[in-house]
Amino acid sequence: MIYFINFGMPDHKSGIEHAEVKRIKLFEHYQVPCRLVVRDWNKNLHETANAAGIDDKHLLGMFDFFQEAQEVPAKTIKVNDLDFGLRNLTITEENEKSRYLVKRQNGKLVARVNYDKNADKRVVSTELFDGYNNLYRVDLYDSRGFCSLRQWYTPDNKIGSEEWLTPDGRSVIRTFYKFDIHNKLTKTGWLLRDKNHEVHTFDTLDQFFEYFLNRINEQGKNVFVLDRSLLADGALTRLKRPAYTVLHLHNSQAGDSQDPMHSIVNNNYEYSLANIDSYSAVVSATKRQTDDVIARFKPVAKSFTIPVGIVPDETLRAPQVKEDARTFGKVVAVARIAHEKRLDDLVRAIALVKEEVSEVTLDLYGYADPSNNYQEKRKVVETINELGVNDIVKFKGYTSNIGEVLDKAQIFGLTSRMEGFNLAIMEAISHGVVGVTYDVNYGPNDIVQDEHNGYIVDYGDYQALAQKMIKLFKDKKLMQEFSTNAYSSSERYSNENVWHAWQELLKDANETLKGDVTK
Amino acid sequence: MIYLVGENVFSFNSGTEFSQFERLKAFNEQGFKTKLLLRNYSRMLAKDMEKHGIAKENVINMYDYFQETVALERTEKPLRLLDSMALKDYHIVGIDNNISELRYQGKVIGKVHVMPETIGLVGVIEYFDSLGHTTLKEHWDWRGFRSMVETYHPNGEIATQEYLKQDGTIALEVVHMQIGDKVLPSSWKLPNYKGQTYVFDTQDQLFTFFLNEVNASEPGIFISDRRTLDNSVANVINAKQKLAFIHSAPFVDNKNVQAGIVPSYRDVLTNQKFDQVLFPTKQAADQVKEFLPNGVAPGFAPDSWVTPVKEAKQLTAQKTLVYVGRLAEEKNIGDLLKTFKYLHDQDKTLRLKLQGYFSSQAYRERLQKLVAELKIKDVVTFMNYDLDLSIYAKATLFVNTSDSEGLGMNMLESMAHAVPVISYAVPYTKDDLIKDGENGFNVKNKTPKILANKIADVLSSPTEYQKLSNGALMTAKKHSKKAFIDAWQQVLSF
Repeated sequence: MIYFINFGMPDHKSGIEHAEVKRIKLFEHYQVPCRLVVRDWNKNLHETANAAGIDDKHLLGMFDFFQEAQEVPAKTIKVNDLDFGLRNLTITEENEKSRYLVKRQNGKLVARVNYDKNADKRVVSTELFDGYNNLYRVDLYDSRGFCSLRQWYTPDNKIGSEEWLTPDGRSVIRTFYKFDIHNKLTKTGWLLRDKNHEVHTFDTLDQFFEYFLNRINEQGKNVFVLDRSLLADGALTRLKRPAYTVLHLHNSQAGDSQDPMHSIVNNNYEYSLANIDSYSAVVSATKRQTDDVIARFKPVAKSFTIPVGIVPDETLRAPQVKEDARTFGKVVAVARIAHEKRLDDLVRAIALVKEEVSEVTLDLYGYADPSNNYQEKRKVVETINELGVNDIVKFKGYTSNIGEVLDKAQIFGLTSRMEGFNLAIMEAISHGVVGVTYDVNYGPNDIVQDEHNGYIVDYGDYQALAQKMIKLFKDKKLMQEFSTNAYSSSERYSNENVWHAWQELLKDANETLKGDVTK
Repeated sequence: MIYLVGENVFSFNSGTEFSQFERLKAFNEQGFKTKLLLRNYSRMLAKDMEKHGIAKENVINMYDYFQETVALERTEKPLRLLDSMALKDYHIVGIDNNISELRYQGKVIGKVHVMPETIGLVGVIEYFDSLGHTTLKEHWDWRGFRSMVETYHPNGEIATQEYLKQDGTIALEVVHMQIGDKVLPSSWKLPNYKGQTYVFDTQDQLFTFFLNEVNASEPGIFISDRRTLDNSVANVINAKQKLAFIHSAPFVDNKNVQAGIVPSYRDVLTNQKFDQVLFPTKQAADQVKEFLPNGVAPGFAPDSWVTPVKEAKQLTAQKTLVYVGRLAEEKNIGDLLKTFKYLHDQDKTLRLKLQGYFSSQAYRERLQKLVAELKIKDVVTFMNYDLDLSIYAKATLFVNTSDSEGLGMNMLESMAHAVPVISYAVPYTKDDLIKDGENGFNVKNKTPKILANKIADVLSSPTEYQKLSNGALMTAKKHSKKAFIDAWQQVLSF
């Protein structure tokens, strides 16, 4: 089996989750079994994963595994389905707090039942009280309709222990909160009751996860792709049975990606790269990153370049949009308004372009990063005001219809400080948008091929960026040529090509493990 | 069906329990189908039942009932052979006969406490967190199954107890939370009893529910033997009959009955929730009646029965005084030791043997100190609580200095072994059991000196002694099993 390791699959996804979702679809398409391994418990895991297109067969939560809840038919639990063990109770609703109050005839509170007002008033948790007005427990319900986690309270109203149950009511996992030597209440241990009631104790969740990975690798011959390195970077080097372990880089391995040989190592990869020879393989999304990793760390482990983005077949087959059908002068950027995206540089370049090409406009698509009270957005706005380009630069916010936007645009501008791959620019070229980018590691300077489907200018040189845009706007033939090349260059990220890259890795895994890992 | 309602079969039982056990045995032998219904959780119950000769088919413990382990056969579970031991990860290191440690890379992560009175069978498994706190204890039943799992609040007090069925599902959950200024059990939950959840605020409410479930499946007569259980029994619906049995003397002051009935008995005597309240002597029943509303008449039923030995005893040169029973303050053992001191001063060959369990460690220490002060250490023997009564084989006289008795089952047992009894005169015993000059003597002037004088008189007259020994056997014969059953038939309405 091939496992991809992450902490969860939430609604708010980062690039890593997006990459995993695409990868799982790819494996499904080629009918090779794989599973997303999820370390953390989340009552909505199946709901959010299913919504992302990952069905229960492709999902292996650690907690689910021990709770024997990998595949549970979903049902909706409403307040009237709950049995509080007492008769003649009254139930009143508190709409504004999305809950019901359940009381005894003498008025004593039995429970607060919290529901999801957006999901048919499905029960999400119950706060339970004894006959002496103590809150003694909070039960949390899985979105599939069973009590999954019980939080036991102390007499002074803190969580004293947590207990996870099987859907049929056996206690299988517990954590405990105790006073440490500084008299602080801390989570001090885990206790697992595995098959045959076998008891295992763990000091930390990391140890627990390591035990779990060994459990699913009892037969050996599995592939583990570590998508979030800190979850299991130690565990994967200590597996008891043979396995093919893959460190998958999703960001620059260097703290300063423009100085990959000497800058500090990205904290997330410090441990895994220090132990890289204990891994079977390293995956980078771009050739350039693969080369830099080899140059600096000289791994014994095999290196593979596998794009994290995939251009769907229907996009590749779609009719190409000619330049004269696009909005002349339209530059777009699809990125969070955040410091590492350096969008103020792009605004500066556009202001320079405007001096030569009056029709130029810039549309910024993406959420504004809220940190430091939207500092980055304020900075970009300030630059716009300073340069007097308010009429041609627009904040468009997030759009779910980026394809339509790209089909109308001519140039995709990119001025980031650092990248892991950049799915947005890949998507842009697949819609024939010409990329003009800084020479930024990693992704944009691979996806964009200089003087073929766009331009790569020196890192930080917005004047050069502007010059290239002016050149393109003034040479319609060149723009059309690059656009046509952009379409064809996106073939590099077709299902078939990305799958081919994975096949190389799986082939090596089969050879290493002397067996078929896809079984 | 007859249900005898009790708290437990303890390792050390008092007269109340013994009375229940005797009744259970006699009734079943007589063909009255009878079961003992017990309220308390005890993982050693099966062992204690066996020790007391109680058949597992005749007992339903409440916890066993909900855990679905009633009358379960015992399986020996060596701790080193448990399926649940993660031998791939942990070392089991034997520390001594009672403790083995579970170690992970040298660190103690758990401790296995060996089942008492066994070699290497699992008793309790205790697990520790990274800081060495006990996080969880797994209690194994004598019969070899994981019975109860306990967790703790951060300050170490019990937080939760989960009582398990054999497949590991939770049969009963008990929560310990704040009640007043203490952390006590505050919720009792059956999460899935016959498809439904039941919550109770007290163990007694749960016990009532249990009694009703038992009665619903087979209606019967309920006999409550402890006042702590009266409320639960009183609330049984559609019982054929409800009886309460008061084993001890009913008055606050036996010399002055006008001072009234012991407060803890008043409720059961007056609330009229029972069909009848029973005393072990007719005299007590009659006396109590005076204090009750018109129409309420306590009854009489015997506490126990005995099987007398064949032959009476003769006085021997080597004489031994005995006492068998609880070694408790109300038994006034100090006076017994002082009485013996006077006698030993006159006859250096005289010995005293006491058999029973101490009510407390403090009382044990007090008595040991007294023995040392009286300089009788070498001639007085304290023997452990034991069901084996061979102590009577070489006993000359049974001496009793207690303040009060319901009847004196221990003295009746002595008589069944042809050992006469010389006792301080206490109500019910002096009227219903010990007849002066027949089977022993009641000494009205309750001082060790005068009691010693009476004993000395008896020990100096072989003729009188033999007469008393004969008389003891005659008394025992009157308390035969047949007499016991006959008397009970008068009060049971089948």
